[in-house]
Formats: sequence, structure tokens, C-alpha cells
Amino acid sequence: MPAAPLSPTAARDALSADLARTGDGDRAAFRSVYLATSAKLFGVALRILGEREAAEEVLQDVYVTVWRKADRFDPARASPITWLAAIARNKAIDKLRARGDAGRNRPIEEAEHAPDLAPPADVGLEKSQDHARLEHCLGELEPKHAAAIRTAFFEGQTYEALAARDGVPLGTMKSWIRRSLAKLKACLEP
Amino acid sequence: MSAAPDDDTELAAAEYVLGLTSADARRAAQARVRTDVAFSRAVDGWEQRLHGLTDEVAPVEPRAIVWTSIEHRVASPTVVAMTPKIAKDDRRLGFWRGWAVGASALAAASIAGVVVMMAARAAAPAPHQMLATLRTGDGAADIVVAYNTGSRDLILTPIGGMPPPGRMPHLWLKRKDGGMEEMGPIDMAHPRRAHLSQAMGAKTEGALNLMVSLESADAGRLTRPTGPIVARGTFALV
Repeated sequence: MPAAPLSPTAARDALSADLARTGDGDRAAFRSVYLATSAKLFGVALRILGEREAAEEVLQDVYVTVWRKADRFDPARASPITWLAAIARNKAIDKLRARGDAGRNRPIEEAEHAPDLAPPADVGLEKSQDHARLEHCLGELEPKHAAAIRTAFFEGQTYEALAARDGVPLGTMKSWIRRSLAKLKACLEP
Repeated sequence: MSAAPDDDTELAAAEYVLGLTSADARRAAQARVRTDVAFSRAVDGWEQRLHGLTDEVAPVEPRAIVWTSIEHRVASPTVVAMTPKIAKDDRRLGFWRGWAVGASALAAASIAGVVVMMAARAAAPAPHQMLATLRTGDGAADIVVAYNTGSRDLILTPIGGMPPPGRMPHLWLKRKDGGMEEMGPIDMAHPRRAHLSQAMGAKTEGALNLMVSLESADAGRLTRPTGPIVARGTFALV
């Protein structure tokens, strides 16, 4: 359901306000939060879990958590969508680990209607300044190292799975990523 | 801002946020978030730093039933702990028709699941009835599964909808350990009553989810579904 187009700042403020009202038990505000964010959070969970049903279960858990914890959201500490996306990623990765996956493992029913997991085209996607900065900083890393970080982020893969995927020893993968994280942090310092 | 977290704290936070660690390490990190302010702040920092990547994730509309399930869960606190499984597909598409169409069979398979989900009765020893409805989107083929934990009788009632020629639906239990247990083929023309063995009864009581796969008519006994999953349902206690 497309939301009315708002500037990024106005959208963020509206979402913060809806989250605050959700924290007070306002169901209409909760519904607004859901309408504004569920497609994005579902995309995040689906990308990690690779399976629609599991991603929908996670999405339920995410919003039940949001309903219960919205009063703890602090707009001074995080943007609302960052807070929500972190809940979604964490729950999706926890579910992935609970089913014993170090990385994605598709069940049989996905064979015929797997969601499109390819990187989306830019069309219709609003890329933020945060994204541009992060892209710039990732671009400063060794391409293989940046790719490992992106795979970890999008697919919730462990060090072990990433090492196996790239055919490098575990120690090498850890050292790639740890070095890259330190570089990223320095590059992203305000 | 107060003193920056040390390097180890930063690294542990980044590893947690990226999702690089095992289930045990994640649980430890989640406990630490609640007790260690520096770590919690470092986690916030990494969530913020890496969030930009989320822009690359294409939004995907979840099915309407997700919201219905969420509303149901936030409305009834006793239900929350059960995490009701939701139906596979609520689009108004034909059940068997989808299979006949061919490659998009799975997209067309419509299933509805939870009817009512009651609170779990922890270690409830009293006999009770478990009920699941595996319903198709267009109502062409419902399969109602009722199980009595006292008598260990399982009653399977198919309503409408015949499978395509040469195909036979099979009923599966999804065990708590994630494995699948075949309950047998479903004769869509006739209801069936089965008395389950103690072992099978225990598995049925322990299971929440049921599925129907569409197999070749001469498939015989299977250890896992080989055909498409065309219906799903969730047991509720009644």
C-alpha cells in the first residue's frame, strides 16, 4: 500500500510520532507504522531467510515486539527505521540460527516461487545520504572484503559460512572483516 | 558523548550487528546489550553505520494475513506465546487449478491456517481435541483434521475439490524438531478415521503444523514430500 510521498525528514518525524503513540497503546498509530514499514522489513527478513513463510513469521514477531516495546524507542538515539530494521534483522538472523543455518538454506517449496533476491534496480528506491556515505566507504575496501561484509549484512552469514563460500581459511576471513570494520568505522566518523 | 567503547567492545558489537556469530554468541551479545551500557551504545552505533545498506533491500509486500495475525496476537495476550503459523497464501486462486496450470502451481496453492489459537496448556495431561483446517483460497478443497489426544483417533475430513488425474495429496506433520512425518495419502472423496499408535500419537500431539503435498498417485510411502506443498494448517486446541 503506497504511502503518500513525504520528504525523508517528514517521513521520519511522522514515523517517530506514530511509534510514540504506539507506545501509548494507540492501535491506529500502530497500523500506520505497519503500513509505512512492513514491506521494507519483510524485504529485509526475506533476504536473510530466503523463504516467505519463515519471513512472515519473523515479521509477525517483529511487530508484536514493536507493539510491546515502542515506548522504549528513543528518537534521540536512533532513527525509527533504523530501530525497526535492527529488530527485523536480529529476529531474522536468530531464526536462521535456530534452524541451524550459518547461511541461507532454502526449503523445497521455494524452488518454484523463490523471491527475487537479486539486488534491486535503483528505480523507485530512495537512497539515503547514509547509504551514499556507506557505499563510498565500502568502496575504499578491498572488493572481496566489502563483498563479505555485504553478504553478512544481507544474508546473516557467519564467519564460517563466509570463509567456506570464499574458499579461504576462517582466520583469513576474520582478519579481512575485522580490518574492514575498523576501516569502515574510521571512514564513517562524522 | 562519553568515553568511546574499547576496540574489543566495538568489534563484538559490529560482529553481532552484522550477524557473523553463532546462536550462542548472539544470545550472549543480547544479554550483554541489556547489562553493558558501553556495549549497547556500540551496538546502536553499528546499527546506525550499517543501516544505509538497508536501502538496497527491495520492499516486498507481505500478505494481508500477516497483519491479521499480528492484530490477533496483540489483542489477546494469552495467544502471544504460541506464535500462530500463518497461511501460505490468501490469494483467491484455485487449489488444484493452480497445479494444472503448471509451473506456477505453488504460487497458486492457497492455504489458510489458523482458525482459533488457544493458549497452550503446559504439560496438560487431560485429553483434548486438536483441530486444524487446511483451506484453499477459493474454498474448493478444505481438509479438516481433528485429533483426540485421549482416544488417539485422527479424523480427516476432505471437503470438495478433487486432485488432478494421476495425483494424490499426502498429509504431513511437521515435528517440533523440524522433521516431517507422513500421515498418509488423503482420499479426497471420503472422510477417514485412523487410530494412531502411541508413538504416532505423541508426534501428533507435539506437532503444530500440518501440510499437504501433491504426489504422484503411485508414490507409496514417502519419507519427505517430493511434490509441491499445496496446503498448510496449524493445530489449535479446542
